[in-house]
Amino acid sequence: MRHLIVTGGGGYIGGRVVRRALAQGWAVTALSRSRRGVPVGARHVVWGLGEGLPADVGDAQGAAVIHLAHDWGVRAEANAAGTQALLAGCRAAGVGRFVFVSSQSARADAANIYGRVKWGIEQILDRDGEVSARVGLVYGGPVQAMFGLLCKLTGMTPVLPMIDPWRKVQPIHIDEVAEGLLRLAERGGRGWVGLAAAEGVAFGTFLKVLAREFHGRGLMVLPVPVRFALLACDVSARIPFFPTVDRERVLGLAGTRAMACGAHLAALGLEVAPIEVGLRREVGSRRAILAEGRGLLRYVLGAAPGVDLLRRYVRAVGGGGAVARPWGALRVMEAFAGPVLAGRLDLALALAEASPEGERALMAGSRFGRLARLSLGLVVDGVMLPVRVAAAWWRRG
Amino acid sequence: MGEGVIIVGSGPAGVSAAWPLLQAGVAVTMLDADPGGALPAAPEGTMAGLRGNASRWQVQFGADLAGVAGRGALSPKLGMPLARAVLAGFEAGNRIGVDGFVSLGSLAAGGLSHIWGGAAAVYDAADLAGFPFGEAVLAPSYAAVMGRIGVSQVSGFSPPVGRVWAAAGRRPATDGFELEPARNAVLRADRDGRGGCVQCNLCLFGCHRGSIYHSDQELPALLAMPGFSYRRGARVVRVGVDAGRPVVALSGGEVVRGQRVLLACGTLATTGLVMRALGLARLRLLSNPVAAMAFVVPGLVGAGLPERGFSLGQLAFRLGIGGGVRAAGMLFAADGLPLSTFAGQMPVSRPVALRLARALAPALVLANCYLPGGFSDNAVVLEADGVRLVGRTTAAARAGLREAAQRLRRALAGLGAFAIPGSLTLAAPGADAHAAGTLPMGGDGPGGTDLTGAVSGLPGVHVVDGAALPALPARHYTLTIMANADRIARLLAVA
Repeated sequence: MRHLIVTGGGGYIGGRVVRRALAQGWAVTALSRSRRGVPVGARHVVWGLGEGLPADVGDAQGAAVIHLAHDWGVRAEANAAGTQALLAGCRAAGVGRFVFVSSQSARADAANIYGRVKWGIEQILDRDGEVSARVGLVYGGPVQAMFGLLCKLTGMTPVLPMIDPWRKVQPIHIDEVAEGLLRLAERGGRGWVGLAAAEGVAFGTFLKVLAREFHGRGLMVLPVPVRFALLACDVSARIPFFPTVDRERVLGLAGTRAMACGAHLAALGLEVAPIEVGLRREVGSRRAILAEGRGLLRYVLGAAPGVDLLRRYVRAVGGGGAVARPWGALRVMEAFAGPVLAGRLDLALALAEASPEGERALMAGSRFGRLARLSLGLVVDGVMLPVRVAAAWWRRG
Repeated sequence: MGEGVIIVGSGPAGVSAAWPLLQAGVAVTMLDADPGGALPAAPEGTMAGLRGNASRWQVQFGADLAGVAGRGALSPKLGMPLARAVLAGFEAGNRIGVDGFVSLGSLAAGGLSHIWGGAAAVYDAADLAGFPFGEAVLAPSYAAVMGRIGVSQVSGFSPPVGRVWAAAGRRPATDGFELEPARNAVLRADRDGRGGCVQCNLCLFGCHRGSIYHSDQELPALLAMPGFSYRRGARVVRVGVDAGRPVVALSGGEVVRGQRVLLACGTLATTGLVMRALGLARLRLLSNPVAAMAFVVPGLVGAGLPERGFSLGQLAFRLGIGGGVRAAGMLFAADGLPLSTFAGQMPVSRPVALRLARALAPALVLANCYLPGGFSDNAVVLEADGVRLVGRTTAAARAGLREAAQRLRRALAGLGAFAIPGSLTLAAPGADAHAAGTLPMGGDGPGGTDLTGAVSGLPGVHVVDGAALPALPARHYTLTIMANADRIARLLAVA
């Protein structure tokens, strides 16, 4: 059985790699400080960055190592020294392939410490079978790490200040990262390999897609200067319950440069989907579409939709993600609806009518009562008429 | 294959041509493009019962929910799962491209007759003005076809249509506006394994009792006739002449020979086959410019929906629009339609639109109105790989439909049904599903055919479907296509 050793096997990416490796039939040993986050089925060995390859790691001869562990807390050089110690141990034990998980920001002159440290470590991998994977902006999976932070930020406010929203980032889904790392672990390599979307997408667009798919809402991204953002980081650290934005992350983003990795992906046979597609695999995305369906159906029906009706809505939307966050005021929002939201409302209307609860809602009361309710609705619509006219004019203009 | 006659297509024209030949002892091979796979089953019960039913969505949208997005803009029935299945694959299967034309055709056994409105109109002398023969020639064929398929006049109306009809009985007909109960190919009583109509109002989803005629129903009886053979899945891709005899090539490469070949695969598909065979660059294509409109009978607004109903045409009207032009159409009730088909067109918010649609549904009279084919300006153009249908709505058609709508509005207002402002919708060319006239009988231009639909340049090949009609009056034309196919087959049976 192929043996895979994963450091940081309980982390955001590590956990995902371990689970995928197990599913692909690897025997997996996860090295980390605690068992927490390590998927069931993997062997766990207590290990901390700075230690060599532990003696009880099992048969290391010919094994593959994916090195993810990174210590954010200690002085930067400790990461390099720790990796050096691990690498020495691996070489001595006759490990076949060593995959170091680096970053798109890895550069000798990177703006953030992280990028410089990752670059430094890349330099000590100089033998065949030792390869660095420069990973782009990872999204998907557990709402943790950078992805978790961005999810929180985009869900918090309709206007998000952000440094340099035009800068291109190269997103990649966490499962695509995991698959890429496993392919490298199997084949080895030398130098560095980029794991990210070959085509960049503006960071502001990335955030907007995240807001739409995850929270079903529009997002306005307000460009701010880096200096101001760094100040905001310091402030955010002092506000209780507000997610802390690390200076390092801001600098990492601000220093991102385009990475040519199309050839790398092709060589690995790895397909990296556009972020819209990748996000739709996510639980959060499904939750958003359920919320949208519940809101729109309730709006057209005037009553809560049942589970079956809601399920049909999600099925009928098909591969599409959420487009609306139905927090009331749909009567106003409807007037301003673009073709996408209008299509969803039509869908909700057609499905609602063709359901038992729809029939009940439409049949409720006496003829007089129904007509009275209808008249009231028409009066409200009449009051809303100027808004509708303005909205139509605005859409056309 | 032997010396018999090959009929391409199992739609109303093909089946109507088969009977006289078989009765005269001529062997017939019917080639049917039907790709296999059953059409969606027609729902049982009634529309009233379906309304609150938990499985209604499946009937309305299909198990795959594909019908939710709908094609309803043209006609409510085209968005239904049955229509989608009937129409599927037609353009690709016949190498038809479109440009401003809605191509409606079918590869399914029975063809478009699965989703026709059932309207069975008999052309009068004025309607036959452009034809190379008169009423008397077609009369026996009309009688034979009507006897086979069963035609009845509507007697029980939905409440709003019934009020219009009752009011019409009390008033003298006004300037050129004629109204009469529609004649439909619908059985009133059980016959030949088909059930009589019980007014279940599920017409648009497929008639589970078989009361509404479709030509597929005749296949068992045809199969019982000596000399009849039927091949399903035989899609004809080419027609030609070999050693003086007509031949057809199937999609699998097989070549089938016969004494004669009768093309009955529907105007659009037939036209494509003949154009490719003769290399005809461009042919005129007739269609009936059509508009739809909604009227309301105020006293019925907000009433309960009736337990029984009938979703096909209930009253037929004709009206003159000046210049000797006659427009015609049908009045329908809306109590069998999904509300979403018209709620989407109301200029109010959707929750209100849904309730308004429900309040209006029992009070609505829907009308369609056709102009003669002379108002259309369409063409079939030969291309490297197949044909392209090019459609254009003429200014005359637009003006004619507006004029007709205006007169209809006035006439129905006098009968207690008032037009809903803004409800007039002009459909795109082709949406009428009355494509015709590309290979006209008696025509002397390219593509012209003789009295038996024989194509000059293709000895032994006859056109027996809508393509052979030399003119397209503002009437429903299916019954006439069937009668003409019957007439041609009678001539060929003794030739």
